[in-house]
Amino acid sequence: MIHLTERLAETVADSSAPVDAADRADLGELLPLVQYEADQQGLALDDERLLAVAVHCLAFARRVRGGEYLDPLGDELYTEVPADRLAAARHLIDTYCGPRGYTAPDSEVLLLALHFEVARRSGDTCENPT
Amino acid sequence: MRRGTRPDRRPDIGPDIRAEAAADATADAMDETRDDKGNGTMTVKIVIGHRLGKGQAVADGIRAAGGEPVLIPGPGADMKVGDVMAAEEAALGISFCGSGGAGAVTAKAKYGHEIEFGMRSAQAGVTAVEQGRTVLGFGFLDSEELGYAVTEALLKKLGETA
Repeated sequence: MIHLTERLAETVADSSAPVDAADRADLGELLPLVQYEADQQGLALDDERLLAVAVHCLAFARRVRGGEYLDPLGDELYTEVPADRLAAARHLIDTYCGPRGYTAPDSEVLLLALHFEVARRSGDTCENPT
Repeated sequence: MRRGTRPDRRPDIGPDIRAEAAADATADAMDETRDDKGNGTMTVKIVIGHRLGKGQAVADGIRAAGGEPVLIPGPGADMKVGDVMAAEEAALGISFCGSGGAGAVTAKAKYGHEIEFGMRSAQAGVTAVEQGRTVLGFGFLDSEELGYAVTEALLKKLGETA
């Protein structure tokens, strides 16, 4: 996970908001939760997918830290993800957000869950999920 | 190649060469066409990839400003922005998701594009174009205003460098 954070930091170094110490600390907690959930779902995220999830986590962690909330998304979009996997994403997000006093909106849950669904549909699955 | 399909991955030629190639591709991405009176007009292709399969309003704004939008269909389209930009020889890509970052960093990692992400306003997109970014990542901001403003800024920048 440290390697992934540093790869992300290198990738966005030239942007207007490069990874800083607070980001590194937050990603150090959030990315292992994401990896654990991917393992639970039998998803083997390739390098490309890992980087995409990592930058999503970076933006999410910044929203949590800044007390920002995404707008609601259309109800029809939630049908893209099975209920049990939405529940798993909610659990992951609440595990991260609880100690921070932040209640994430359902839109955050859906966006994270969609990252896992994209990985699943593109075939990033383990033969023997752990 | 059909729009929205995924081309073969390019060989790993190193970040500096990829960045240079991306810059060259952007410079070449403005086509000059001439009408029957010989008047030249500049057109640019701008690829749109939206996590939820939207982006039509941005496409309308791009078209209104004189650009040619390439709207990638279907959910997860943001992740294909770099691939479709390469296939279409587009000057700019716009990625939409929670922050637009996933599509942008993927385009950078694979093709060396200069990126900006986490943007939430048309003005932020204009500034990014003026700074030479070639893939822009936004939150969900499917508006004509965004497409128009970014296209206008891109045409101005490419006109200055042509």
